Amino acid sequence: MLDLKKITQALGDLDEKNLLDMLNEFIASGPTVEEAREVVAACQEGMTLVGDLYEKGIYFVGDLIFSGEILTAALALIKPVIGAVNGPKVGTMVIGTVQGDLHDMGKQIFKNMAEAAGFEVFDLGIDQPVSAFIEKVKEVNPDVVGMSGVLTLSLDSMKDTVEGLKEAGLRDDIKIIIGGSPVTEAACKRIGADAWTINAAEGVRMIQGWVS
Amino acid sequence: MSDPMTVFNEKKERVVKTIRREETDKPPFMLIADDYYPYYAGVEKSAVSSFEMATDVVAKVSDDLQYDTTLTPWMPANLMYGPKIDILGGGTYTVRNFEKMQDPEKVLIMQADEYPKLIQDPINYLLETVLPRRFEVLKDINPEDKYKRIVQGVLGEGQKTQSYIKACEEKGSHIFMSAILVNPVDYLFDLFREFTGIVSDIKRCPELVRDAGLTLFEGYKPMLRGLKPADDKAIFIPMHLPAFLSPRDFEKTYWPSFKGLADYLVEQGHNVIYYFEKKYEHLFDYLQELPQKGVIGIFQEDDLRLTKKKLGNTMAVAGGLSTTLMQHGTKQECLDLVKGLIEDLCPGGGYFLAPDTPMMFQVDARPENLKAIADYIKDCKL
Repeated sequence: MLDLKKITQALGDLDEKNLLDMLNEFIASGPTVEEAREVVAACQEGMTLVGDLYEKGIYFVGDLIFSGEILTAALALIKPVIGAVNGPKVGTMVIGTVQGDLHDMGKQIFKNMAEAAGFEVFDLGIDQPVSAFIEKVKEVNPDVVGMSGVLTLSLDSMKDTVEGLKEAGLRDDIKIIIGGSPVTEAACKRIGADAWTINAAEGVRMIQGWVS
Repeated sequence: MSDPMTVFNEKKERVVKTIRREETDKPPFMLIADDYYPYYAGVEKSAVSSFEMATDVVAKVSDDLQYDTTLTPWMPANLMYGPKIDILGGGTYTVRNFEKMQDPEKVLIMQADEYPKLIQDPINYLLETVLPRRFEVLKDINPEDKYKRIVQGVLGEGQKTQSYIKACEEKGSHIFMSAILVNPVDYLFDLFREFTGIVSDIKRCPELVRDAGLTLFEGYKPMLRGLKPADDKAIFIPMHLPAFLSPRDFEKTYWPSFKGLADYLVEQGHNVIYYFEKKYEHLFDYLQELPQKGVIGIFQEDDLRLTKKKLGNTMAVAGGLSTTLMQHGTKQECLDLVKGLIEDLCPGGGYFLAPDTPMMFQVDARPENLKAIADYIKDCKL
């Protein structure tokens, strides 16, 4: 059996080649579904290491994005063994960049980390109108809605989205987190969100707290 | 009251001295704004259909705020970018509601395994392989027409833009930017590989990213030779990728062509103004190695006092006027901010009071707050 600590460490070190070599060897050995699930969990722990290193200022956003790429490649290798890579789902989330803003990166980082933490994430994409959030919330009944934006203008769109969710009678059933460079405590209050962050790892910890 | 030309020349002198990191008679104020101009002037963007009308908008704001310089005048997207986009039949940029926007989903047109082709023969690779992927109109046309169309698309109605800038200056608004460039590795990021692509390349094949950057830098040189330097102006280079890179990745991939281009531009007599978007403190050791004259840095999120302390012997710094505070704070809070900046950063010269973020939207400052700041600066003597 594969040394799971080495898997976790390789992902934490962003050592793609080493990780994929180990996984290819593992797949070739004909593992059981249970063993494969343990490897997925080890990869998820590796993503936690990446998040910790980011919080300590050792890793940067580029490292976070690359860790998501490595995780995707690793899960693609394991998927044939277990059919689907989803472990136990800890919660459901709808995420999107709000109307008028085409920035994708922050949302993508948050999505990668939330998925690695066991959330099922429905990504609406960029430049999403209020109606898109409302429709998706009605459809999937998530625990959390995440709104992302980089432009100062996005704060208004976030406020409009929260208002829209209120008017649709959906606000009380969900928690809302907002993220992006213009977001502050004061903006969070004005917008009517439950939490704000400019740090994906911190944000994921917050939403974990909501569903635990 | 002094005549307009005298006032303009005084502003220009303040700008030149600040670039040289010399002290000035009063705090130098650089506006960094785009679509905020028509908002402040109380003009609907849709009502502005000519460069003459746009010039009046800039003049109105300049007269009211009496800034020393503006990084750019208002760049009305429908006049400046629309025609360029049409020449190339679309692409990654669009003009929507009179704003230029880039669609991130259309950026990725170069594959990771194509770096060797770019490095070996950049012109051929760009003209024959990559650009036709983005612009349908470049497919199946003869090389001469293709080249002409690209030049038109890049330069657009360049002469009109130059005339517009001249007209703005004739009406009293000093324009800081002489041209805009992006660093070579940002060029790959912004136009060809998008974010996930470029950061993955940086991890998987750093030498190829570095060499592609150096190849593009060599390709910039002939284009740059036509630019005339001016001691009161600078080439504007917005920095995109480095804020997201570790120092190690930055040094291996981005730095060689960035440093090469900075040295080259300054050797040619140009000033260079960088916009350091987000935080750059982790790269200050490198920035200290930029040319010791002719460099200005606008800092968005870094502590400006620390920045000036660390980089003040290398470059002039700009920023500090929080757009968030200008929108949500009181007039008194804005005045307290500007007083503190002047007190701490103006001694010794080399500091432009400027917004920390380019002002693009109505929400970037309440006009009365910006006006209060501008009036305070105007009446302040050092």
